[in-house]
Amino acid sequence: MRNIDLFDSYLMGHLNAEDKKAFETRLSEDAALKSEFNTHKKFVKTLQANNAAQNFKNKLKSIHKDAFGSNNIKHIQQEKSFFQKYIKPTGMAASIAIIAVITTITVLSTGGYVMKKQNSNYTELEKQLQNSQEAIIEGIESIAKKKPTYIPANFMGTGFAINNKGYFITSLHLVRNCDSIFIGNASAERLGARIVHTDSKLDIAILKIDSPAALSLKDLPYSFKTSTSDLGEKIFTLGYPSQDIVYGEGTISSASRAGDTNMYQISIPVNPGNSGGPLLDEYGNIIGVVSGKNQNAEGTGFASKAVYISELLKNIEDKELQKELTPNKRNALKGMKRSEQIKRITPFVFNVYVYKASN
Amino acid sequence: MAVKRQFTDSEFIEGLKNDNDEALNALYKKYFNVVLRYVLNNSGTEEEAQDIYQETIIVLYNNTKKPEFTLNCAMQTYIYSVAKRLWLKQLNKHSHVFKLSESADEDGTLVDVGNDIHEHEEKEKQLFRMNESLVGLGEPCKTLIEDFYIKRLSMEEISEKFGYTNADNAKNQKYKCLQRLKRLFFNEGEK
Repeated sequence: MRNIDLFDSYLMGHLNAEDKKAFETRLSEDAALKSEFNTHKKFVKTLQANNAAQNFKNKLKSIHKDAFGSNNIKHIQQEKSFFQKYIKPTGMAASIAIIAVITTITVLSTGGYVMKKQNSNYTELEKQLQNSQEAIIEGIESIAKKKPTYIPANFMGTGFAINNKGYFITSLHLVRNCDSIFIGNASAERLGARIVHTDSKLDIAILKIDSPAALSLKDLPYSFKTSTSDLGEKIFTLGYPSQDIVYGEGTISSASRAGDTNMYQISIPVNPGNSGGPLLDEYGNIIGVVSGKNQNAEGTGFASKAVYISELLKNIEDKELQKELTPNKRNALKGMKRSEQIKRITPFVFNVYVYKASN
Repeated sequence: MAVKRQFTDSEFIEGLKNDNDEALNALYKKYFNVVLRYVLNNSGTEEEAQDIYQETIIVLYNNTKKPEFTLNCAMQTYIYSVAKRLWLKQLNKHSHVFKLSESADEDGTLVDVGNDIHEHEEKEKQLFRMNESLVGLGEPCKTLIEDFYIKRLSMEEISEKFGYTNADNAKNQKYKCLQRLKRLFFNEGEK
């Protein structure tokens, strides 16, 4: 019998009096066993405490809803009527599936802090899909095709690989306070990701997927630039403002965003969904991560500077993680035609699907 | 209309301790506006106030479960103090532009809740990590683990539910799932 099985039988009260006593005697005599047991017991307690805490949180939410109402409820009711209108001709099976989807969204859209925007001129570029007809139609089509169906994410943005070990970079504002994150692109199914590091000054989040093998990413074609780029340099970006990857090009127009030197201002028209996308120079170096756009000046965006991101990666306190995050140094894109560069980069750029409470 | 029961502070404490829903409900309704007003006056939104308030109630609730806990100020003062500390932390954590000084608006109605907050944060960190690990664990492992440790189903029941050939088989699956969960949990913990 494995120790863990014995521990569990004891903890869950499955042992008879005799075995229980025998086990307790062993514990008192064997210090190593006792320490192993205590570690396990603590772990199980944490597991149970987590469940109790989740239940309590849900209870508070429902008390709040009953007593004071909530914006979420109103929002969901609107959505429901919209769905109901739409699903009439599609038959019973589809409507059941869609109602299941709505229920899940309901669950996903409660909880979490919703941060206020720090600057009204600055629009964060996550794409909110909550009421998007497109997503609903797509949902129905995929039910019809019997493809794996996904609940539409309520926020979408872009992310790209830092290396081929399963680490990705995206915008922090996109994933902040989310319930769950998935990434995917044309060549890969949706894979669950989690946040392993964040930096709010740079608006950067590092994501990790647990099964990098599922992507079978080859060596990265691009490298991270470790110096600042100059004004006027030609740049381009790739992102997912829609289902398909979109290319945009322009120049660096300012070395800062309203005094914040962590960011470049760029003359690329960026759209919701571009957040977290890579910004590259002519040679295929990553020089930044697209973060937001200027509402007052059409056609300008902002991007966190790669030079600081490299610094950030180098200085992560967790040494294990730091080692894992060594960015690619070899650039295989220099001198290539742009269309060829894009072809090489695309497999490393991903749609980021985010489930969280909406603002 | 039914007359709503009025709770004293110590009845509230006793009620929370014993998981009395009526007490929790009444407490929640009674003090929300205090926290709402504070957060709204300090550049927060209603949703943020709701989150801060619920976290405050959790701090209080966990405290009532400790045998040594006594409330040595008015309930309102305690709730206000905890909520204020949590909100200031929240502001400082998420904004590099905007910092509120904690001593800027002392008004004499605060108690020191530093320890409570610290303990709460440590606990939340552990629980958050556990929750993340469970999500990362995926199915069917997550359900299997919860069925065993939380719903306390027997191996026979689990075996039947998951379609394993026998209880021993289920036990092996549970073992593997648990090992994976531990790996996720402890590796994350090194951060």
